[in-house]
Amino acid sequence: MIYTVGNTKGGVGKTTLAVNLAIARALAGRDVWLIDGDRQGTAQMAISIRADTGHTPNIACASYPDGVTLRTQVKHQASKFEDIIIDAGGRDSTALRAALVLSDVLIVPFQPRSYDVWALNDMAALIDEARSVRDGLRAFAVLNCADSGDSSIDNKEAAEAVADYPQFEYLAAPIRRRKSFANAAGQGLSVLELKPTDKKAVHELNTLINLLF
Amino acid sequence: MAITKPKPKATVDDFIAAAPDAETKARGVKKGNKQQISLTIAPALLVKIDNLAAELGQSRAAVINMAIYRAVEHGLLKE
Repeated sequence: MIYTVGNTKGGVGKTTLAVNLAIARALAGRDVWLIDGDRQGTAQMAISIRADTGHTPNIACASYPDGVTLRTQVKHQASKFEDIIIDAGGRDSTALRAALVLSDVLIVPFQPRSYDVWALNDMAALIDEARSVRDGLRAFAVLNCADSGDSSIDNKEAAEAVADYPQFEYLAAPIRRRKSFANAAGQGLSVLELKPTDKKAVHELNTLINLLF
Repeated sequence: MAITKPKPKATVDDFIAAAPDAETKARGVKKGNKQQISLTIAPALLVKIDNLAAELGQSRAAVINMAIYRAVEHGLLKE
């Protein structure tokens, strides 16, 4: 299966989530290929830091900021992997569009903030366009960097706002704003590997993974 | 008879190429290694160019190209 973590809006935590998902799947014994479709190459950098520090499992990671190359390479090599996670976007790009064409599942992280909710509109339009050239793209909106606490009004309102966009299914597995996600990602690790363990973060990531995979 | 789905108007390639960071195609017409441009010119100057071309045994295009080359490489106003 091919999964894309994408959003036309930047700063929503795409790369952090993509790196966490890829490593979590590898820890579960899957053959994973992480593709960095962002020109900034942050996911690639995180994985190279992981490799330098000798953490296992190793994650196969490639960087294809150009959509045409991304599409060609994934088509050629997709059969060699069980799970392909593509990190794409931050803006409308050929890489994001190629990922939308290739993916079975699109995961759209968004923060419970007005600007993020507004940006869902752009993403919804792009999904519509992608669906006009292909069939079977599932799109999930996932709250990322959500506020802490189950009673957060902003989380609730942001989740409800997704209902305005029929292009998305809301996935009720919010990832909250926790330093452990950022700290782990900076070392090329998933929160599942971080010591000391952040149990809440681990629980959130596992909940999301159980719903997705 | 089976019903054939209409072909989608836009293709996957069109969709990807519509992204803002896609490479834009070079405009104009390519002729071999050269690019075709359109040029308007004063008739009197054109007569002079054609006369010079005849004198040198060159084509009109070659003379125009040589003149432009000289202007670009050695300065437009230099004698």
